[in-house]
Amino acid sequence: MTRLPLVAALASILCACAGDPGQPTALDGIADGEVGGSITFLNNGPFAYDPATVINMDRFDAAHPEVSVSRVEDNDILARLATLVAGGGEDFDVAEPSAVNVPQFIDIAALMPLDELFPPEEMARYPKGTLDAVTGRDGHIYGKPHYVLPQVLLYNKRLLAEAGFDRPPETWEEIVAYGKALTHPEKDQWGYAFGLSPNRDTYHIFASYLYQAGATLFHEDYSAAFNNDAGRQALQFMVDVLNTHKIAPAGITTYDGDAVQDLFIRGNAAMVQNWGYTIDRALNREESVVRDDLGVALLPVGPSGELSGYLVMFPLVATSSTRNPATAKAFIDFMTNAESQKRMLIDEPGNAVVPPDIFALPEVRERVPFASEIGTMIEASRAEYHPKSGQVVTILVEEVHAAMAMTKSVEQALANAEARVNQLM
Amino acid sequence: MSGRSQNLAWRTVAWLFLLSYLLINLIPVGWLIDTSIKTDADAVAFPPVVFPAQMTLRAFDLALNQFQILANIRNSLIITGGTTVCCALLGVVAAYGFSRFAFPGRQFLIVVVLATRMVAPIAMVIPFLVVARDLELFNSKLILVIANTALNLPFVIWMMKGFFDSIPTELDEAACVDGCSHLGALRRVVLPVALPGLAATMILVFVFTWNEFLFAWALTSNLTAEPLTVALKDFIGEQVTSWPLFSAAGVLAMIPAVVFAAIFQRYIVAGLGAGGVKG
Amino acid sequence: MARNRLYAYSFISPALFVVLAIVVYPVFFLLQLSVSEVSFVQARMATTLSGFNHFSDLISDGAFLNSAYRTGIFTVSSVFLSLITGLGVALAVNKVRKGVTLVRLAVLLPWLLPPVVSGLIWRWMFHDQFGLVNWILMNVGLLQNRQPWMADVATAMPSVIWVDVWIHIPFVAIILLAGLQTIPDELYEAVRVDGGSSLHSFWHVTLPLLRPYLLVVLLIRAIFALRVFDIVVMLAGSKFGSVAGAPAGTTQVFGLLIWQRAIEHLKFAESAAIAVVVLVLTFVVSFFSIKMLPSKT
Repeated sequence: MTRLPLVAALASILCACAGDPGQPTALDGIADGEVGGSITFLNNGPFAYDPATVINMDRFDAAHPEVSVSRVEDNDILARLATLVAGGGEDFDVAEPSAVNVPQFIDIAALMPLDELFPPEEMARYPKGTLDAVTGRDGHIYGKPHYVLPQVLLYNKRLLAEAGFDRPPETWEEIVAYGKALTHPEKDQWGYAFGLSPNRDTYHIFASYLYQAGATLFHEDYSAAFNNDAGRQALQFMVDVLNTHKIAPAGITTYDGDAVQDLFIRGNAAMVQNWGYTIDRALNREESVVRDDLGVALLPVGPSGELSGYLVMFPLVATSSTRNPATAKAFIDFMTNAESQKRMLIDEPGNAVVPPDIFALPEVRERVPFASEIGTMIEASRAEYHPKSGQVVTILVEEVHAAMAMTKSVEQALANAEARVNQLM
Repeated sequence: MSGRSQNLAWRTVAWLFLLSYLLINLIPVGWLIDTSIKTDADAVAFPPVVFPAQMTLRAFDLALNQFQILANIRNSLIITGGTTVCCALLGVVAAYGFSRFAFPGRQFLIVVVLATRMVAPIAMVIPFLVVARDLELFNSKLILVIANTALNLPFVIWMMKGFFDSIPTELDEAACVDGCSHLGALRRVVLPVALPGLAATMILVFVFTWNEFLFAWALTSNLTAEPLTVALKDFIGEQVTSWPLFSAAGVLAMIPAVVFAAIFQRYIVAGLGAGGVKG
Repeated sequence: MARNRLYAYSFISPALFVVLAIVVYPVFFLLQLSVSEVSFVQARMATTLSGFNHFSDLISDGAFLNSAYRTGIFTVSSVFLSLITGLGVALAVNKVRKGVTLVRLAVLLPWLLPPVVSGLIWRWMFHDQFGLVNWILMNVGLLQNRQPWMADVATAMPSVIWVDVWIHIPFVAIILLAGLQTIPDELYEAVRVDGGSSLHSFWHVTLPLLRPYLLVVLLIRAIFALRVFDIVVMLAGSKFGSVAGAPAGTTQVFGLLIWQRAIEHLKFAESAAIAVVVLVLTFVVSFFSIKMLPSKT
């Protein structure tokens, strides 16, 4: 650890001369060693809210008495990772960040490649596109999906029936038509809602509508691919829901997923596009009034005519600074094996896993409500990789919010976003 | 006679202003306490339930047992108590020095002291973390006492210097004529006169430290040292927020600070000060 | 005299040592970072000196200029409003004769809550659909439709200022109250004997004698307001880490920008440059406040 800044500066010059520091450590360069010793696992949020994670860690402890795993929890993994690369130290070996935050850490070689956790038979369990978000520019895979948050359309059967609808909407046009018939502000009832909190949620939701419209976020060279007709249709749809049709509450640009969930389970929103965990809360929370009226459908299709959505994923990653890479890998491997994934799907309501084979298990079909809708949505969803992930999220949050607040037109917001994204690389 | 009625009029105005202020002041705090004893369903009902039909202490039970908030409260008390004591000892002495002695570089040094507090904490956290690791004090209560002392000392020095400045120097000179040192004058004569100021300053240090989040977050990683503010953030679930649970944790977090403030605000009274200055 | 000087240093040096020993290295680190390029060597930050380019970049940086504007609005409004109201509260509490302890505690309460708690409570109270604020205002007839306080570009910043003022009035009040206690009653009596009104004594006795305390409070409030962070994140960001300063950048103060560039973008040097600008700004503001302080010697 260099203490004096000048020494650090000198050292970095020497290192820069010695070789390209940006290159990720090659897998064969890591002295793996034996599984054993101790590692620290940094969980996303309190363990009290993640029962299956605790069950699986207990199983790991039982299976590997030679390893001690210390359990640390934090709500802000991104900040922990950033502090780790800036401030040094070996605070944790394995972490559970949001996949959106992962690429920029891959790009500075802060994470360890995990390719050996994906032998062909394991690779085959992951549908195309579901590992894109954790696959680096170099082709190595740096994270193994721990859980995913599927997006679904949740609707209130009773309210829809009262308005004369006997099936959920299947297209954007139907969302608007249903939404208008179901919106009664004087009764605190809204037709449709999604949560556009100014964080990665906005990025996820915009990408989801973008995919439904038939576009993608980035080209192969990481330049922007959203400033076109499909992009404009997607953003225009979001703006219209709020400002033209007024079928969503005015505050949705501040709502986190749980605020949208509140609106739905208290009967104030007839339809919401939200994360799968809302199903469990609608069925089981004490304040839910929609227990008997819960309907779950696939996301409506947009102009592209294809079922699509953004795959929100929380992978397990290992830091490249870990002193115990073999054990870190063994831990990740165990936490994401088929048995652990089954436990995740069954014991941690709302948090799903990727492989379709888990959804096919009879035990899962029986015990997880709406398992087939969730499984179908996950298979149809995807995510993208951008090396400057942090800046990309900021840009899209700012420009999408400017359009939603109507301080910029849709065209202008997308053009500005495109210009800013293209400057990054 | 007219003086008395005028006085009454002012007192009425003061009370009216104070009452309307206190109303706005206390609504959110009252709401927090109210929510902590509600059921989850009542907590999110709309229109809001002000007087819950069903009161429960379940949220407190969860906070204390499942989330082990007592361990965090203990950490917070140790860190905050240590910081307050260190700040009082070092700060008061230094403030007295700045207030009572003329020496080269005085004006410069006192500005430098304050300037150390002008760096955004966010920018300080990472270098501080590096130092903490080098000293092998990462994830210890001691490093938080050190950090908070350094962060609060400038304010203590500035505020106490202000209070000492308002006390005539004749007072300590009189004390010293009777044959005592400067330290003796400070302890026996000046400090009692500046007691209201000291009490206000100690409340300030206590509250700043009690509520400090960023350094506490960056310098700790688990229950060994993690104070309350860091733990409180964990009560916010990503997928569902139990308002009674969060409110109960908030109420528990408030109690020690309220007790401390209640004890120390008693010293914010004139009495000694006025008498001393006159004498 | 020399002995006296030595004596003086012995008083101030322990505190000075603690403050400087702990703060000098971070400040040096920050200054050095702001004139460097950051690279990552084996996933660790390394720096090479590069000159003042991060500072010159700021001149044409829209986000930085926007933050300067928003921080200015926030600091001036929040400091001014909390000082005026806090002074009023201190004067009123000073008149209270019965239930002093209770009244003072009631005044102090908002300040005793950790910002995480007060921020989240207010965020919830500002909720457009289920918030207490809309419910109260609509019931007393001050509001016709539900106002999305934090989503509306016109009300987001005023709401943040409101909460910040709400939190800091107790701080201002308690310091000024302690200041008021040092004013001898005899001075008021003298004014009364001369037939002066209460307003007269406020203007000619209270205010001049309170000036040093007012300025210290002003100084501390301004230092804090210029780099406000957590309360804005809790209200205008999201519960999880994002500091976008929504809606449409209207609440994007410096504190948020510094955090965003460093933590979310890993642009540590660029972030350090902004932190240095804020440091200089704070120093200038403080310098002028200190100039206004009456000097004892």
